[in-house]
Amino acid sequence: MTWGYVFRRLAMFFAVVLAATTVNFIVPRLAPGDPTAAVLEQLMSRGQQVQGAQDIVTVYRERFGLDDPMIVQYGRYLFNSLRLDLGSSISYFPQSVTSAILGALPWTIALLSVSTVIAFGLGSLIGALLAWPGSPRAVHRLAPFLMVLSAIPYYLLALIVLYLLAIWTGWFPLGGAYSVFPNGFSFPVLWDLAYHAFLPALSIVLAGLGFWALGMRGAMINVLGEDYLALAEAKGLKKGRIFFKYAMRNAMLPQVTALAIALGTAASGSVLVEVAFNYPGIGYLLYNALRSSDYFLIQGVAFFLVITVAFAVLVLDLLYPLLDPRIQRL
Amino acid sequence: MSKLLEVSGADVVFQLGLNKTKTALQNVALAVGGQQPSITAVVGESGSGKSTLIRLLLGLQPPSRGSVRYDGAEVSRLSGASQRTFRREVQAIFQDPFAVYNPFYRVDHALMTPMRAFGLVRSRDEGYARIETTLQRVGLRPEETLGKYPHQLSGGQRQRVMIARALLLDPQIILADEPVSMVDASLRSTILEILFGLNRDLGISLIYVTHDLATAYQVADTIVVLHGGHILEVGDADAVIHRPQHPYTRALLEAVPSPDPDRDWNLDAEPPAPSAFLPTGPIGLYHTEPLRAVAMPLRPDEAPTTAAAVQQAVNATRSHHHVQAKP
Amino acid sequence: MYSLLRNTRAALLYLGASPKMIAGLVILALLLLIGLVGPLFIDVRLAEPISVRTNQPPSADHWLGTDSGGRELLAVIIAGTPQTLRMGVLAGVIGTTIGVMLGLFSGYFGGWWDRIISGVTDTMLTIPPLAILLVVAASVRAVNVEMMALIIASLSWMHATRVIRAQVLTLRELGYVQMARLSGLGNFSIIFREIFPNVIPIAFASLVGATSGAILSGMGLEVLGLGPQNTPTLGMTIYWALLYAAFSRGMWWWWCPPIIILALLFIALFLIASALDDFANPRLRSQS
Repeated sequence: MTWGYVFRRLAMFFAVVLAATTVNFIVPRLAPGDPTAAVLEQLMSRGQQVQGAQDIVTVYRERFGLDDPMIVQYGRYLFNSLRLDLGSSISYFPQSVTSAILGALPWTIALLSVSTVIAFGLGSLIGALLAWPGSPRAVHRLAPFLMVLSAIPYYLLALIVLYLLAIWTGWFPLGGAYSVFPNGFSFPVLWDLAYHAFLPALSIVLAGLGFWALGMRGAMINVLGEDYLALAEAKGLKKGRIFFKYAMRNAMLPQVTALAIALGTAASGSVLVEVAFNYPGIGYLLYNALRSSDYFLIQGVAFFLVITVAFAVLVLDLLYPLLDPRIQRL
Repeated sequence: MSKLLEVSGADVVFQLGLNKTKTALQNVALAVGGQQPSITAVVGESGSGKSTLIRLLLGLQPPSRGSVRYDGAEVSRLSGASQRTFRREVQAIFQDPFAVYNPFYRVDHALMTPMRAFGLVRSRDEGYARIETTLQRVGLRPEETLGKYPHQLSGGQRQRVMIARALLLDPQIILADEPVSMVDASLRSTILEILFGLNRDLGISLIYVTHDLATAYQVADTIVVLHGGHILEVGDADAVIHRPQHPYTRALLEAVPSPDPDRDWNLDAEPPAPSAFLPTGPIGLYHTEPLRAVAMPLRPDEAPTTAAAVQQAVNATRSHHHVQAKP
Repeated sequence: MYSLLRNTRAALLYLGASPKMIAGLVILALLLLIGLVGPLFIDVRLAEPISVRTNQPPSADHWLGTDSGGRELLAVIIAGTPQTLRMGVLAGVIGTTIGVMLGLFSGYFGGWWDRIISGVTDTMLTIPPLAILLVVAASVRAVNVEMMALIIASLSWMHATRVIRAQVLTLRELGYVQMARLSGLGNFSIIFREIFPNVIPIAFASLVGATSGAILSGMGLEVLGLGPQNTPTLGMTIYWALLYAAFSRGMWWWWCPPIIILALLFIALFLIASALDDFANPRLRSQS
């Protein structure tokens, strides 16, 4: 790893942020009508229901400064986005888009990271065992089942899980993240949180498991053909040591690369899982924003989704050299 | 008489990193073609710069310093018709007779495509007529060769089809990069015989790049010894093989196991590392005999000669008694 | 041309013997059949809202019952399945074509173009597709199937670019590509006549993958209510079912069929892509 590498990864991160901001800026302007039209139309259709409608209109007129040249508008938009000022939400007015999202983001990050780590770890282990000639028969029988699982998207699995384990059997809650909003941490509170998170997490784990297992199986088959494995065996090393230290360790490298690429899709999928379970993360926030045509909140959720994933990928890319001894350390 | 392909004072330096470079060739001068069609063997181990030299001569690798000229014109600046002429007239045969075939197509594709691309034939039938004659010239039966996929032919057959491919383009010069090292031993002499015949009967000049001194001696007029990107010795093939003068050439010859049962192979002797023969300071080629030059430390008072000059000298003497084909 | 035929035959022989391929194709054919044969028996106009009595469980008249909007659900499935497939294939073909072209050029020419193309590809791959689609679909409210396909296609080329580029980087160094240059072929002839035929299996696998990904993205938008409003689609059916609480009301006939059909579709495409992958990467073949 060189400074050039670190610099490139950082540049990529900022390129993503810039791209997301630009899309957010350009797309509404490509749509017919001026950008405030949608907001105004929204407010009018709701009549008196929105308190301070006039305030919102003023805020947006000012914010867009529609008489300024495009480049000035863009510059201002960029500047505002970078300091995370994404305007105020309509459905959560007077809350700002950023504060609405920051309230929901921890739920999403906790759910997504825990379940992705479980899916990645467990899937890789199963995949490695699938390719390993010495593993028990039962493991090999898992393969077709995992293939089917990996084909079904997060959202559909979530609906199936929801029906089977919540509605039909009644074992788990139908949705939400807690029975009463947690104040402080005690065992019952944690238990309640885990109880509510179980089904959404299970959906994400099940949906990811097959993908990681099949990827690992492929990488492992390649590694098993290498001479250093035959050598390790000839040296009389213990099976378990060969499996973990020689085969799995090398096969994990492409998996980590794949993780960086799959994270975006996983995040998209888990947003939908939240919708299915009314889980109060950004997916659920998004669903409400869509229902009430809260355009700035929709943009904000998209923006945060992009930078959260980009940040995770950045961290992963910077950690990768620690795993791969062929890459020089700083 | 054929056109001259000439490298003079060429360096090839690869940029590996920000401040890391590798010099693949240094101050190389060579000539192929010209007044007398000739065969020059370039002998070197892997890493000596052989492959870079071939790429340089084919115009696929521009020199970092110096020039590569064909018929008087700088190769990297050729364009349009003259570039096409160069491409057609300077052909190559490579080491791996399998990788050069696109596995997607029959061998016919490898023969027909270049003729079509250079506009040498007007119709498919005309093309096939030429292909059949040429295949016979390299000792293949057209009916057993055409319509086959590369993997259905033997290594020797594939290499001969490649020679036919080059011949179909009426080349002036053929660069053969280890053409027999991946072919079965029993077929090697057949292929070398064909290459030798191209020079003798068709007046095509060849550069024969190899690591094998024995085959170099069999076919070449001049032998050039390349090591670490430097030319260390150049001279008449007989002289270089029988009376090597540079220590590296001597080491190479000593490394060849002798088939004489009375001579020990002396496997215990630790041969000096190849890097031991690399020059430590600036060097130049100086004549030790009229038909020979050896690399020595640069002399301030004497202008060094070039491998190209020695080649020309060898060719000039050979042309008088060129018929003395070696076994 | 002959060689194309021969290679196709070899591919078909291999794939014809692959159980995954057969299973995938059979499922796909059955789903296609729903869209082709269905309209002969069922009036698909019943898929429009307020055309039948609402909330009817399956019966002899309405085999799959009706929903709260007054749609006959069998008609919805028959009309919606081909729409979903059409959108996916359209987006997949456009996306893969762009992806393959970029991959070929990027890998073959290298240099600055390659750095730019692969930089953009790697960057785009990390962007959650849903985020971009949301912003676009939410501002272009009145989408139809074709437009949705175009929008999704603009986000489904990266995978093809990545795998094709990697393959071309290897192929570029092979003897026959060097030879083609000595044979007087220009860059474009080399790319399309010498290199392209050898990446066809991978391109096909990416096409199937991209199609599946496009259907996934489309479904994601639809279940959020951002799909085509005037065309019945499977995803929108799930959206309506959730909106009207079909789960807790026990209206299984409403949400079950679209989920099953979509799941079958994804499984079929996965099996086909996986069989094509096995064909393109023979090392995995012997193990599966």
